[in-house]
Amino acid sequence: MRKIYWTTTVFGLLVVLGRPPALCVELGNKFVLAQLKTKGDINAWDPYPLAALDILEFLSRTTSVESVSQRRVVSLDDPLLFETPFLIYSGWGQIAWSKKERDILKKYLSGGGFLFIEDRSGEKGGSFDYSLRVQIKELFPEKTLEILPREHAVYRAYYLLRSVGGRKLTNNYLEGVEVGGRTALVYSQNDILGAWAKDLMGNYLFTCNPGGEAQRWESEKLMLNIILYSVTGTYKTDSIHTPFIEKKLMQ
Amino acid sequence: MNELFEIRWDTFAFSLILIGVLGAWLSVRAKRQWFYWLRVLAYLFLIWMALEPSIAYVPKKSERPSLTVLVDVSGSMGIGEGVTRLDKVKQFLKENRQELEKYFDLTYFQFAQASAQSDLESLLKARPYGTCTRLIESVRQVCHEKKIPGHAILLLTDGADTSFIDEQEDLSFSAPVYTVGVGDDKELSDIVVNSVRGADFAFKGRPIEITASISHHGLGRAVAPVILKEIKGKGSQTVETKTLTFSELSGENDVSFRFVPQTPGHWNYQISVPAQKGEVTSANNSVNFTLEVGREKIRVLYLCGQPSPEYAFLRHILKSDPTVELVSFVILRNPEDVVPVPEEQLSLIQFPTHEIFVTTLFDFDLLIFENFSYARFGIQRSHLDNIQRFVDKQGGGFLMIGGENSFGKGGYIGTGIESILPVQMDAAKESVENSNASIKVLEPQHPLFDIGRSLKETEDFWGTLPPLNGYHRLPEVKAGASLLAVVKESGSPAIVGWQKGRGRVVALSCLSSWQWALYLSEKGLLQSGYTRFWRQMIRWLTSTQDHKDVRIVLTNSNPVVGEKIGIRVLLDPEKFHSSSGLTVQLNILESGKTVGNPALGAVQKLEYRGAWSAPSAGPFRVQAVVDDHARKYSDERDLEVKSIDLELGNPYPNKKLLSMIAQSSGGKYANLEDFSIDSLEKKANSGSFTIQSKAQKPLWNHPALFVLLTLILAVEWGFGRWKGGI
Repeated sequence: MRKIYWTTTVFGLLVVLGRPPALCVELGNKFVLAQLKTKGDINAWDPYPLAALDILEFLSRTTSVESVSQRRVVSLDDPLLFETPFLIYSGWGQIAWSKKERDILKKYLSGGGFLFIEDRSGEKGGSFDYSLRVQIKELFPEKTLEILPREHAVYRAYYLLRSVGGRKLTNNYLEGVEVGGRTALVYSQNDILGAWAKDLMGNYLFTCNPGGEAQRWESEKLMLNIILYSVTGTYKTDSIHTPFIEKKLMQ
Repeated sequence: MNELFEIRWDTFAFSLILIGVLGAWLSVRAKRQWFYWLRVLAYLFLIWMALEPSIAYVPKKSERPSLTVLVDVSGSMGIGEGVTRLDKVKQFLKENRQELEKYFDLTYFQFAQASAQSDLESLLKARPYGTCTRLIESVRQVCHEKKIPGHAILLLTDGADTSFIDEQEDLSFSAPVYTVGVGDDKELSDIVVNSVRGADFAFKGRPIEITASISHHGLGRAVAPVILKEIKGKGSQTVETKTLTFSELSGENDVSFRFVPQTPGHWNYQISVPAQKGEVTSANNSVNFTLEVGREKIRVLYLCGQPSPEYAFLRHILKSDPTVELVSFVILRNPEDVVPVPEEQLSLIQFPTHEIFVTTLFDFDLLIFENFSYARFGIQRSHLDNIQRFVDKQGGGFLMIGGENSFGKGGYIGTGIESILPVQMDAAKESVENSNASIKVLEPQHPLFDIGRSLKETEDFWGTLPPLNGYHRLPEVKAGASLLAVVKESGSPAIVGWQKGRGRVVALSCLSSWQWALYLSEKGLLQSGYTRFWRQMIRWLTSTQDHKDVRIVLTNSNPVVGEKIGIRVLLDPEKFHSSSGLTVQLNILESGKTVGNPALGAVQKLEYRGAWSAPSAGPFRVQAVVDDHARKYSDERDLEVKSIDLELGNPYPNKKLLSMIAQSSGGKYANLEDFSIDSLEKKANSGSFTIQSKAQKPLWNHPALFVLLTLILAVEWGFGRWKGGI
């Protein structure tokens, strides 16, 4: 396990250091996958630096979404945050956003930004889980994390999902916060990104428990659905789609 | 005379004393002949008379109270088979002449549009005339002219007033009015479209029911068509015809029409029944009404070539707009994309080409193409021709947003789309630039961009937005199109719009307007400016009439002369957050000149109401101007005022009005057949006519004073000649 950790960390650093200085333009209307950087140990917010590449490659290969091939790393006080409508935050341990950071995040989510939060620890009621709920209460006092029902567009944005994947299966659901009539924040405790993590040889770093490769496949599909949801919204819950989808789900 | 004069000497005596004192003083001082001062006296006398002196008196209680007999000689009094209503009144006067003269001091007046003093002989020879009846005004005129206390009025009329009296009309008079109703509904053969019931607002594409109340008199069993027409300028188009069967001699029926308005705007309709044989008039056989047709929802069809932040943001705006019904298709997978799962595990559906471009296209109000490649999804050029017709003929809106599959790069050259786009297409000159694109708005007051409360606020807003990530470089703007915004860095057209046939089209070269939303949010402004821009874009594209900052609504845009028209002025709540600080003015224009400024009253937060009656027939224009002290907003509506024979348009005796006049003035109502002079005489004897108060009588026009003046001047002249002192 220790070997795996150092291998990915070193490779990740190489990738990070070797990347172009910034995405600058070259964006047009393309999808940009951004990862939220927090203070402190890089491992706290970027445990799987290569996962984004695989996700973006899979996205381009299987869907019509045009994306920038590299991820963007931003912090909450980075001006580029507001040029990046899709953001992933994977962490563990206690979240300690300052009031200023919360204000920025609130503006980001209220203005149309989308945030996918992963609790890698997978501990229900653990320090990440607990502190996140407290932070959300601070962000939106009138809102709480709600379980996203099976009919939610995130489960049918591209793949029709009957289950929720991840490196682990802490929950068989996703949670979310609705802001301005859309789910602006999606929360998972299953470490979906962990299911994507590979070593330098292209082998998966972690086994997915308890479902194995089938569970990994569900994770990958779910990740894609989350991205598609961020760029299509509730499209797949439009009435024109519903009868076709319901029919397929019945099969 | 039956009057006891109580001469007040206040003015008269004071003047004489003044003259005497002045004369004596001047006579002594100037050593003039005494008769010289007679001339001065005459001059002063003339000045005094110019002041119109009067005397006050207390009328003596008379045995014969004063009574004015006021006879209606308007056109409707000529109604009647053989014996007209006026003939009946004449007969009544002939028969009761002696009795009336016995009990009353009589004065005779006749009236139609106005009252005029008359005499019995003239009245007995009078013929019905005039095209309108001003009943209330005529009675008031008589009250004004006959300021005799204890005076009463005997009003002989059918009550068919044509001055559009409303329920709030003041019916009190300074003398009791004894109303005598003439005429009977049964003497007429007539069909009347009384009124139209139903909402004055409808939604496009939604059925609406309008019910006309139609009464008939004296026609017996008959069948007549009832026609609903849409008035278009001077012409009309039949919407629906129904058949009405009259089974009784007289009665009232409701006829309902259910129809579907197809186009938003203000539309004039008419429900009419063609004139039937023997009808007394056809002037009351129709009623006009105005229907304001709005869009319950603006139906938007949004086709996008690939999921992107732009699609997500724009879709969310459209979805969250309660006035928009969105149907969107975004291509999630291209033919070259490989998905390692069976189709059943994907949420994808077949792109419904035929349904969209043939079956349902014309149900929409706006079509949006964003980076959409038609050729890859089996869309034929004939389908694109339908889009051309959708815009040109149906008045639909079309918006093309840039991208690799838009404009010339999307293969739209030579298709129906090319003819409706406001920009030239040239695949060789076009490119999707991944460089900064600062949008410079050229026409900030255009409805697309006009989001500030002042021009400066609007300009500041657009001037501070950050550059966008890339744009679709477009070659040229077509002649007749409006270049509304450019990419500052290159001068390439950014937003171009025009009216194409009945529809509107916009070419938008920006790829990522969503950046404005996040930028504004970062600055703590939420998305208001961004959202407004897109909402105004949708409204501008879908209608020339729907979205107005100020809107005039008329109760009837085809009124007749004298008819009161209700005018509502509605302010857009998105533009005007409150009515404080606003000046709202209503102007009535005729041939470009202001002919009236009806008063407006605020009835709700952003609604004002007023009324106006057209004094003459012809075209008028109602104009509402709202000034928020930063700029002015206005709306105009045309009015076509008709002139019809109001007398025959309303030939029915109005006993209700006559009863109300009698009741409110202290008189009494009776039908001519039931009326007796005795009842009036008893009333007079009971003192009901008499009011013991002082009255004024003009003195200046008394003949004796003129004789006196002449005498003074003659004496002065005679003595002057005789004495030779002058």
